[in-house]
Amino acid sequence: MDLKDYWNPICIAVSALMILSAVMLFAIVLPAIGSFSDLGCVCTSIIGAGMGVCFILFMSIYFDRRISNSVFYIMCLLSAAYFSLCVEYCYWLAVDLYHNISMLNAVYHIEHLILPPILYLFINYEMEIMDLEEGFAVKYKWIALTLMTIEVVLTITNYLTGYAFYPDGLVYVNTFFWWTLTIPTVLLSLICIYLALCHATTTRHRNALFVCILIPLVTGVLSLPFHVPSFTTLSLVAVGMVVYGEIYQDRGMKILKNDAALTEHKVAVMVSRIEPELLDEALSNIMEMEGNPPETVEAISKFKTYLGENISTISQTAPIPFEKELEHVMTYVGLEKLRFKDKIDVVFVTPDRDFKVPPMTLQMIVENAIKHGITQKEEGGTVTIITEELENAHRITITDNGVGFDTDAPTDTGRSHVGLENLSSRLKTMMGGTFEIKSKVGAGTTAVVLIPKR
Amino acid sequence: MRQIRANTVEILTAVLMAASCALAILLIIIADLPVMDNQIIVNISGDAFGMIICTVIFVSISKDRLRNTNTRAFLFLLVFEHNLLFWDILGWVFDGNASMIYLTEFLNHFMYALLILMPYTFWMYIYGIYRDGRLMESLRIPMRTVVVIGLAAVALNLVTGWYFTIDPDTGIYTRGYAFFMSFAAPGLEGIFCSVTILANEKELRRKVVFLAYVLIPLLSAVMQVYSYGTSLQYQTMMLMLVVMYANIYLGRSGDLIKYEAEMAEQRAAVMVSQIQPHFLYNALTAIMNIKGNPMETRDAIAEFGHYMRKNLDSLGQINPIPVSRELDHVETYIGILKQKYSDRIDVRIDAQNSGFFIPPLTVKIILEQAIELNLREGDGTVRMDILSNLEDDYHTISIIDMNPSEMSKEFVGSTTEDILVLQKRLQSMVGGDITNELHEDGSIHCKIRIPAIKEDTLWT
Repeated sequence: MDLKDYWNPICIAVSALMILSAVMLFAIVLPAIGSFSDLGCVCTSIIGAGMGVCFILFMSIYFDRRISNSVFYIMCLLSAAYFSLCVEYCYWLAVDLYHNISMLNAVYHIEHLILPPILYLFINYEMEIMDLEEGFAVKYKWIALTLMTIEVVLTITNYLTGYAFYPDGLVYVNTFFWWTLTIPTVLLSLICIYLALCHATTTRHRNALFVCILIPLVTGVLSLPFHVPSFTTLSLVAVGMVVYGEIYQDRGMKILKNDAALTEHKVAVMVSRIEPELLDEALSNIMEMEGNPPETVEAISKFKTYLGENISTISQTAPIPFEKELEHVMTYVGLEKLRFKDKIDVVFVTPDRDFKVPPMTLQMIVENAIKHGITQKEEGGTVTIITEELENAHRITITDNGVGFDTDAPTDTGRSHVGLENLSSRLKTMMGGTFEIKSKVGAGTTAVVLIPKR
Repeated sequence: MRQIRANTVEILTAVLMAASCALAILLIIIADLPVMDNQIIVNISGDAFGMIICTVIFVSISKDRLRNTNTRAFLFLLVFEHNLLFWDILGWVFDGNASMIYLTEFLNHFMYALLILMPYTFWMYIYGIYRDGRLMESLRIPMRTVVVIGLAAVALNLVTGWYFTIDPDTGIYTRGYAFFMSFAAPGLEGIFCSVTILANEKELRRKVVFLAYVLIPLLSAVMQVYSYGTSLQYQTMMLMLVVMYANIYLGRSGDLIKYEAEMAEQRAAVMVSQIQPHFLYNALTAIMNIKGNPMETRDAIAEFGHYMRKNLDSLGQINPIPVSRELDHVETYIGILKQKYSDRIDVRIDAQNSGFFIPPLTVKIILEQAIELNLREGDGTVRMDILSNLEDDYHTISIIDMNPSEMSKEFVGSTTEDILVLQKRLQSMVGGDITNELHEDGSIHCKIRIPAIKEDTLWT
C-alpha cells in the first residue's frame, strides 16, 4: 500500500472528525461552563486550547507536500493527542455535568486504551529518525507490538470484569491485580527511554526524545494529588509539539546542507571551465620547444585549431548535435593516430546523424576502446562506429576487435570505470537513454547507446 | 563572538520564559479560585497553557540552525505573546487587590504597550520578507509614527486616565472615557500590515495565514469590547502564532522541493563539466606520448596536465584545505601564467600565517579574476601581493592589486556570480567573509577573513 494514495482522504476524514467532535463538545460545555467545578474549568479551557494547537499542526501536515514516515508518525501522534483530549473533555462532562458513573468508567478505560498505541507509535518514530532498520530494531518493534496488544486486551477485560480496578461511586478501587495494567505501559516507556538514550544519532535528537518521555512522566507524577488524568493527556500536546519541532529543525538542517551542496556544485562547474587563453598559450609554448618531432608540432597545431573553433561546444553542458560530437571524436582519434600510427583504425558508418547526445558521450567510449582495447594488442585493431535510426530511438554501436575484458569481473580500480558509470547516469538523466556494454576476453567489446526519440 | 552573545541571550530568554510559566502556574494554584468567576478561571488557565506553547515554540526555533532576517522578529513575537499572557494572568489574579495596586498599574500599561509593539514586530517580520516590495519604504515612517504616538498615549494614561484607571482604594480596573481610542494604534498598524500583505504576497497560503494573524486578533478584540470578562483574543493570538509557525514549517518543505529540483539540474551540469577537462587532459596525454618527444616537451605537457588534474581533484574536496596547499596551487598557476606573459606578471606571496584552513580554490579564483581584469586592458605590469596574517581574532588572506587598471577599479563594489558563490561557500564552511576595497593609494585590497576562534553553538 502506498501511503501517498490515501493521504488526502485520510487527512480530510480525520480533520472532519476533529471539527465535528470539537463543535459537539464546545456546544455542550460552553453554555454550561458556570456549573463546572474550578478544576473542571481550568482543565476544560486548557483542553480546548490544546485541541486548537493539535488541530492547527495537524492541518499543516495535510497541506505539506513532503510526506515521509516521520511526518506520518507525527500526524498519528497529533491526532491521538487530539482525540485523547476529546475523551478528557468527556471526563469532565461525566464528573461535573452529568455525574454519570458508567460514562466515567468508559472514559477511564478509553484513556487506558489510547496510551499504549501512542507509546508504540513513538517507538516507531524513534526508530525511524534513528535509521534503525536492522534485525534488532524489528525485534523491538515486535516486543512493543506485543506489549501494546497485551495492555489493550487487559484493559478491555478490566472494563468487562473489573479485575484490576472498578468504580465505587466516583472513586476507583484497586484490586490485588492492579499492577497487571501498569506493567506493559511501564515496559513500553522503558523501551522508549532505552532507544532515546542508547541509539540517538545526535545529541539534539537524544535531548528532544528524552524531553518527550519526561514531560508526560513528570506531569503524571505532579497531577497525582489532583486525581485527574487531564494534565498527563495535555502533556501529549507538548510532546507532539516537540516532535513537530524536531522535524522543523531537521528540515532546516536539510536546507542548509542542500544549500552547501549546491554551492559546492556551482564551484565545481566554475572551476572546470576551461581557461581558453591559458590553454592556448601553454600549447604554443610547448609547440615551439626545440627538438620536437614533426608529429608533435602537427598534433599541437591541429589541436589548437580545433580548440579555437570548438571551445564553445566543448564548454557546453547541454546536449549537442551528434555531428559536433563526431568532430570531437575525429580530433581525438587524429591525435592518437599520430602516436600509434597505423596500429589503430577507426571506421565511421554513420548515416543517422540527426539527433543530440550529451557532450563527450561517444568520445569517452571510443577512448576506452582505443586505450583498453585495440592498443593493448600487438598488431592493433579497428574501432567501428555505427549509427542507426530505429522506430523510436537512435542507436549507436561501437565495436572493437581489441583484447576485450571480463564483464563479470569485480569492479577494478581504473578511472575509466568511474567515467563509464558517469556516462551511463548522464545519458539517463539528460536524455532518458541507456548504455550497455558487452565484452569477452580475446573477442573484443561492443558498446550500445540508445537514445529515445522525443 | 556576536553569535555567542546572541545565543546566550536566547538561552536566558528561554529559561526566563519557562520560569515565568512555572510562576504563573504557581500563582493560579495558590490563587483563590473559588471566589473567581468561572469565565476568569477559563481565561487564566488558557493563558498559562498558551505560555507553555509559546515557550516550546521559542525553544524549537532558537535551537534551529537555519536563520534568516525574520527569525529574530518571530522570536520577538513569541516573547511578546508570552509576556502578554503572563501579565494577563497576573491582571486577573490581582484584579481588585488593593495591596497590589502598583503592580496592576504597571502591568496594564505594559500590556497596552505590548499590543502596540506586537503588530509593529509583525510588520518587521513581513518587512524582512518583502524588503524590496511595494509600499515598504513609504509605509516605514507612518508605521513608526503610529507606534511612537501610540506608546506616548499609553504613557500619558498614567496622568490622564483616558484609556483606563485603577481605583487606588479597591484596585479595580475600569475603562476610561477614551477607551476605544486605545484600538486606534494597533488598528492602524493592522491596516498597514494588511495593505502590505495584500500588495506583496503572491502565494495564497501565506497571504491567508498572514492576514489571519493580523485580522483575527483584531476581530476578537472588538468582540471583547462587548463582553468584558473574556480575554480570548490573547489565546487566539497565540493560536495564530502556532499557525505562523506551521506556515514556516510548510514553507520549508516547499524550499526543500525547490532545492531538490535545482540539485538535480546542477548534478547534470557537474557531471558534464567534469568531462571537458577530461577531454583536454586526454588529448594532452596523447600528444605527450608521441614518440620522439624531447624531455622538455614531455615535462611541460606533464606540468600543465598536472595543473589541470589538481583543479579537478579539488572538485571532490568538500572539506577546507590547509592554506599552504592552496598557496602552492596558486604558485603553479602563476608559473603557467608567466610562461605566457613573462614579465607582465609579478605576483608575490608572503605567508606569515599558514596555520588555518580555507575552502579549496578560493584564493585561486579571486586571483584569476583580478588578473584577468588587469590583462584585458592596456599592457602594464600586473603587480599583486598575496599576504596571509593573523589580525585580531581573524585569519586573513589579502590579495592586493598594487597597480590596478581602470576596469579593475570600476569593478570594486560590484560582485560577480562567481564571487557570490565563493562567499557563500566560505561562510558555510569556515564562517568567513570576503571584502573588496579601493584604498587611497590606488591599490585594491581584497581580503578573506576567517574567525580564528571557532564559534560555539551552545544549543545541541
